[in-house]
Amino acid sequence: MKRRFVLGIESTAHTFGVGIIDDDMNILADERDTARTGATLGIDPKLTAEHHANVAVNILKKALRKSGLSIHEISAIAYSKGPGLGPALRIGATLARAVAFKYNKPLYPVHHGLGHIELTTIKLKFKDPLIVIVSGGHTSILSFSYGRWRTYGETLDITLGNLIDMFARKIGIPFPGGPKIEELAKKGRKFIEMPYGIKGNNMVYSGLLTYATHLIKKEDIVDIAYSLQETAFSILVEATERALTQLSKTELGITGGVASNDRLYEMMKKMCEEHNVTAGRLSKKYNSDNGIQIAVVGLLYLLSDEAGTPIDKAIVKQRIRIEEEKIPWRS
Amino acid sequence: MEIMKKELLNHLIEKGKLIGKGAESNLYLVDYLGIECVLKYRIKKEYRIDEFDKKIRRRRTVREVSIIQELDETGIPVPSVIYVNVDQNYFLMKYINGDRLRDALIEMKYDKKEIIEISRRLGVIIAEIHNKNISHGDLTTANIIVKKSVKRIDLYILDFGLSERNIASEEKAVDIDLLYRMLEASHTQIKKLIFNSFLKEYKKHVNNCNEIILRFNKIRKMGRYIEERRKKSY
Repeated sequence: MKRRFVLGIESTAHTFGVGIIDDDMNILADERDTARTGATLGIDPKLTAEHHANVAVNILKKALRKSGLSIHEISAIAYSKGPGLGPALRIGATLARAVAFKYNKPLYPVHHGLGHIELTTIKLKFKDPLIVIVSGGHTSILSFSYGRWRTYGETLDITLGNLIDMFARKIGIPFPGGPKIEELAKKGRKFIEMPYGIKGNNMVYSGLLTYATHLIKKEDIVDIAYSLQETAFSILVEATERALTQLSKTELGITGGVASNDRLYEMMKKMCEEHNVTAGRLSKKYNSDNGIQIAVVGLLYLLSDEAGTPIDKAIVKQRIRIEEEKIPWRS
Repeated sequence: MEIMKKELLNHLIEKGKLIGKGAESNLYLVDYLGIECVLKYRIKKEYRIDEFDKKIRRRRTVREVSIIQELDETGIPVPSVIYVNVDQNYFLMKYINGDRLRDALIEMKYDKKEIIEISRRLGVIIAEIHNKNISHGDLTTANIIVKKSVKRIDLYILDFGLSERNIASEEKAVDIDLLYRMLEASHTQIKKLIFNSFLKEYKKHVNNCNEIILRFNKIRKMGRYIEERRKKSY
């Protein structure tokens, strides 16, 4: 059978990315560019969209060049439809629609989180994992059941990525704050007890942010970073542990930007050892947002013989939950 | 005396049988002075830093035991506490010979009528617990034991490790939400039958019902990226 290729476009948040894979999920191209914001600012939807609009066509061309393919050889176009920032999402969607229309390719709108989940599950060769997706946009514990990925526990307020980034900004560290906070935390020695927000299987982090912020001028910054990480991660690991034992899973995949934090991964692995669970994560590069994760889901739709979405139905959604996505390729 | 006290744990574990490995504790079936008991031992969590781990384990053991005792004294079906050792993070409670609701549901041990009966009974018990302003904190089908005989079905509620006192409607709603999510994740096909029967009885017996249900509907919409905030309310 003829080899097929899928092109995926990601533009949910800071990163604009285009990835190209073949039908064996080999990566042929993975081009990205990330918008930078000021030191004390969060993500600005308008500036981010401007950044994406400026780089979009070049990134697409670069990806095609890298893959050695012409646009005519691409079998399907996938793009990230949400959840994310409206203005940013629209840049990716517009490019996807234009290319799909001009070259008459099937078009697949993809749930961004599903991209993280499937890329992780497939690359780690997991069969029926518990997935922890932990980033600036998500902090959820998910398992697959009856045709959909379902949320077993999640944050009820801010995400773990939010918590760390917002704290980082308060002490003058620009995005991405995670790696810097991780470095600071390594130097921390004194543990300061902080609000431990666990409600059932759900996490609550905003009180922790407030508490840590109040300590900024009173305690050594490395000790705050250390205690903040230990507390926030312990909450997530505990909820994950409960989900694993409750659902009797034997595999745990951790994905999303914060999955790159080595302390969090170490804690998750230690927890998993106790329950004979295999824990895994992808490399830092693939925990962050990228076009490959979108292309992978696009390919899964294609291989499941799903019809593409008509151009006028291919919209973006700033808010869309993972449970809304039907998954034809798992049972 | 002190040495004996310390040695008791090892002695019981050695002679006992590991019957369950929960998220935060190990459960052993042991014989204590001729009584069939379950030993709940909060184990050290290697992922948590030491001093924090010690605090959490001790705090939870103390709270769990005192809440179980309070419920037991007022006739709520919970396993009676027989012995406590807070320093070593364990306690003994009476063994209840029955099925874990989660396993029994997965094995499809009950017919529709029985499932409705169990769910209703659960609604009454949880309402009674909530009326004492106590939350369960981990209300899942794995923490419910069903004892079925020819004539009757009895339920027992286990694991009050995350239980809290003096709670508001919010925490009660969190209990309900947890049960709901658990049903969705583990018992997807029968979740509606169970949850609706449960909720009907719960609403009948719980104080401040409207406020709790209002909170519950709110919590369900507190997750991220919920577009339809007008979905069917309970």
